[in-house]
Amino acid sequence: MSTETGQLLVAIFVAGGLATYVWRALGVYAAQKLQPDGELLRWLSCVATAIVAALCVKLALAPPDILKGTLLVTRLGAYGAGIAVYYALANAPAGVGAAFATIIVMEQVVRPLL
Amino acid sequence: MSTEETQYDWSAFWQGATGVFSLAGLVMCASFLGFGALVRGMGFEVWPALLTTAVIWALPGQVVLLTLVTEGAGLLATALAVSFTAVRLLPMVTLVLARSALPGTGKAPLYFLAHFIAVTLWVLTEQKVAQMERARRLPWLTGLGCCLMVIMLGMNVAGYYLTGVLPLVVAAALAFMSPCFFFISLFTNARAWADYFAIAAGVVLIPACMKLVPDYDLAVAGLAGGTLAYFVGRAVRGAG
Repeated sequence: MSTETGQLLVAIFVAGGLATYVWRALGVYAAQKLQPDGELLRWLSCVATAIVAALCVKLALAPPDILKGTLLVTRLGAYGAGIAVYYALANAPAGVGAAFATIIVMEQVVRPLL
Repeated sequence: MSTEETQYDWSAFWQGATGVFSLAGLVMCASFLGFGALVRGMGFEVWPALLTTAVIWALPGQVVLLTLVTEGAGLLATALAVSFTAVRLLPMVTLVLARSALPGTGKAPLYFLAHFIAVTLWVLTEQKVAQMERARRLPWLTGLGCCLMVIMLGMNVAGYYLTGVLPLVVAAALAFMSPCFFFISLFTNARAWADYFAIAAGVVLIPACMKLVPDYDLAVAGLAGGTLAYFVGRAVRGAG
């Protein structure tokens, strides 16, 4: 095994696996201390919801490389169309499908016209 | 069941495995295909894609780890950066276990299931687990998590070797399906006013947090926004 491979293995297990699992283990610990259906869990649920909402917006505002070529309005439009169709049809898969279609249409049809 | 449930019903494990045939499973496939392609683009062999999926099981952390390795960052700096992306897993693990664990049973199944918990499993817990008998919940989720991982490892390999086959815009659209699914799921799962307030607070606060506290943006937006939403929700509950 080369040193490079060894270093990569250490990085993945220690800086990746361990650094991630610490938070999961703390989550297990907290779950045993908290009252089910208690107020603390309600609060935690609000925090988790806010984190995921923030993560989604962050991915639109500062996208990973593969999405850098798309327009900001395309990415925000995908969310808008997804939510609108989800509520119009009361169907989550339709919402995700609409988001996908929005990206393709915005980038392939609308963008060349701008 | 009339008797007190004191043991998990592991027959639910395989039923959980069938849960991969769902919108969530499909959307995850798109993300993990994309990750396989990304890892190839970074110049790695295929195995780091597989190993990071198996030991981290949270895509943002996997991307941060391999990016920093290519930049030659030190082990401690890399560990801290990855760890920041994983803070969000704490509340999710706690919430999933609060719904699925049997009190008074061993802890090993909890620590095992925890490894598979990320946004998707949290979202599915909120949607599917309430109607199940308590003893079947944790085994069902564990089966789902294990099966998802096996499939996503396959997707990593497929993505790695299929790079360049897909048109760029399709690849980009596929990569964006996960965030779209997560965002829609927040609305699907929202039950109380506090949930809607929490979504709004996260959306409104994150642009400022990205500027002011770039390293802790998600943690700050989540803690501040979630706490605010909790209290506003409580006030509304009290008033109504």
